[in-house]
Amino acid sequence: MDRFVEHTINILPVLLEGLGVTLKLTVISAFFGTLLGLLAALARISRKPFLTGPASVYVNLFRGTPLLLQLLFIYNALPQVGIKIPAFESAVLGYSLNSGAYIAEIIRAAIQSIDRGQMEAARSLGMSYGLAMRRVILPQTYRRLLPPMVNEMSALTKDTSLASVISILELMKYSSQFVSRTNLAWQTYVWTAAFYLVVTMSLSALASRLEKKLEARG
Amino acid sequence: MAEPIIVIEGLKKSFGKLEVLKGIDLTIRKGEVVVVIGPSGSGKSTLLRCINFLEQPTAGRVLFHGEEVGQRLVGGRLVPLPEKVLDQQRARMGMVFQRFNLFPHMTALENVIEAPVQVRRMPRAEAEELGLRLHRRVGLADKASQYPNFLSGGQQQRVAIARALAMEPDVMLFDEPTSALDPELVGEVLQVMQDLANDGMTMVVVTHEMGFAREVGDRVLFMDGGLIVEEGPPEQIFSEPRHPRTREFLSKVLH
Amino acid sequence: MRKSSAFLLVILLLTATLLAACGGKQPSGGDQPSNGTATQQPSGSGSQEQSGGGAQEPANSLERIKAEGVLRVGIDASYPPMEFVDEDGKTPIGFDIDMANAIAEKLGVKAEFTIIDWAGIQAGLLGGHYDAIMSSMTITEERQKEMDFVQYLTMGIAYASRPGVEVKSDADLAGKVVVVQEETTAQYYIEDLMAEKGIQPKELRSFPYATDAFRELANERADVVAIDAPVAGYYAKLDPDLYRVTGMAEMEPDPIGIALRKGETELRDAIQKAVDELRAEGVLQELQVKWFGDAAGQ
Repeated sequence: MDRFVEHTINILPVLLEGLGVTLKLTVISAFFGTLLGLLAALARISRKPFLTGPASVYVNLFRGTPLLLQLLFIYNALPQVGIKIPAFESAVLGYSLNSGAYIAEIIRAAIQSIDRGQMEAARSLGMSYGLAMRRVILPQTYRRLLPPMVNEMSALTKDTSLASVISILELMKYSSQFVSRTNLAWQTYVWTAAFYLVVTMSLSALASRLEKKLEARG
Repeated sequence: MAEPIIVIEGLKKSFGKLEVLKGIDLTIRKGEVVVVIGPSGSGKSTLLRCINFLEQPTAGRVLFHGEEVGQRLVGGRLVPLPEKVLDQQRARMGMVFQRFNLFPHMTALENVIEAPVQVRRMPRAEAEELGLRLHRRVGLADKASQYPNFLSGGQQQRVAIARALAMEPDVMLFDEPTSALDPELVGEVLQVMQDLANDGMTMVVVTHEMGFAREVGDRVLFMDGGLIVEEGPPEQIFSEPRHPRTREFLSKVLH
Repeated sequence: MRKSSAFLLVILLLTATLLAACGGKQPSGGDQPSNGTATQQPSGSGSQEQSGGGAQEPANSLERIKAEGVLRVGIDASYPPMEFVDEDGKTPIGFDIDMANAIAEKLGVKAEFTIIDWAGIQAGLLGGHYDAIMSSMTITEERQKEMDFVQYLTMGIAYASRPGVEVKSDADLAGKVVVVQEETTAQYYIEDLMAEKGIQPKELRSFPYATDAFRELANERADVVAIDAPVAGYYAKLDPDLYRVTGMAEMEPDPIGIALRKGETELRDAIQKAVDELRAEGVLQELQVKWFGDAAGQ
């Protein structure tokens, strides 16, 4: 038990630092991913070929290839054509593009699940497509977006553990470094798991709160 | 004769291989209440939805105040008109849907003032006043701050009518407004529609409510198989229908 | 209206924050330490900005390294005693680190370490993020197609047994539950023994990390670990009641090399020279004793 406490005191500061990197990576990528995803979703449903084409290519490409490949490509293949991006920014780019593709489908599905009559009513009042989207359709998607988005954010949080392949030291890597050094596996990983759980459970809790708030209006 | 608000010429609409409208010519004048009846599949809803371009005609044209709606014929091809123009035309037509289509994330009042504020740029205070006035007009003054899912079907439809009226349209289009209502709620909606007609609103109403057609309509159109089979004043259509199909339909619905 | 402008404001603020966080980075020929990356400098010297434009472009990587004063080395610090982290959980230490520092000194520069996961370490070299991999990489034909190597060590495979088991040689593996680390020479060697020499362990299991393999021994779910000798030595020293080094595999020890991008002949020659000098001076031997203790290989 003493060994456990001693070990814990030793590793916690570094693990917390790793958690910080994990969170930073997650939050920034989630932000850009959501922006990208929204744009791609709107492009996909626009029925204008010059928008749907590129958007579909983007979504299929990033959902259809492994995240690992995407990260390695951005970090290592791009420099060979002259585009050299530092590690953290490469990671953000990779995670944003990847997440964005999944979020695009989440948002598209949510938009298309809204009854057609809503758009018809809005347009028949003289609202433009954009205005109708912004004021009538999208607000109704928020409640439907919550479960799949929480899913995606949790997945993103956990996916950040892959970033060590492009030299990002985050929670998971710091953990395995400690384990390989000390051979105290469960004593280390129990904390790692706890930290990831705190993040994912907080996400769920936040989503529940939001869902209740949106419940009233439907 | 009152001015024509809507003129429909040679209107045809096909969905893929299925031709739903086979050639409609129709003029709707200011102040007229035109009621369209007919069996399901006759194309009456499609006709209505072509007027505000919710459906895109495959041939022919719809003129609103003399301007083509949604598209125009250029060198033999139908070319879409700018969306902005269409939005402006639609703003002057009001539509009421069978399934109400109220915005569930807004209160009744917010539903009604949404378009005036967002499209007409009306100041919010002024719009709220307008909204409350319209709520009173449809008999729902005390329900203005309710969300739609707390209102009965009849109440929702009346809010929907208020919402359409808020844009001060030149014509109101009703697509089977009472078909989705429980029977005991139909009356309150029809009453609002009758009051509207009495106030001089130009209306095109697709409905199965023959009583309404008889009492409120100026002109009744019987549609079947994508064409207007017979039209005339309600007394004539209901008492002395000329066309055998009209008679057949009426015998079924009037028992 | 109010809600939309608030939303817009939030977006602008976040974007501005992000840009500010990324700002202040200098472009340079190599990889700059950025947030959360694993670049460690033993003595805080930074890299100089690469002179572009009118100044002379370095003719090759060796010259660039000398001009910048830094040799960037890629390591996966999860492999004691070759490369791992110190008590603070962050500073890289180990045989390879000392070796890299010594080589860098010979070149007149300082070594800077980029910690990167094994799965991405080769790609990182080819992507130009560091100039050498010094991470106990075995020289194989496959790898030589993609990279040039300077050999500095050989590593045999040791057998570490749990109490009550005594695996001294290949033959002793018969009937035992053997564990290895995935995708290592040890795994391939034992699979070979099974296929070609008919030596049949009761079971052969592999795990992603060396520590996983040792844990199997500790849990008495396995009898013997076959792994690189220095690693066996390290863990045996850590937990002597749980396992001891009891024997060596009867194989030619693996050549371990510093991996470089193909075609960088000046750099390779300079590093080869440095290694030769360090060997002649007895530095290599010193390091082996320091880090491998009594399981010192050749």
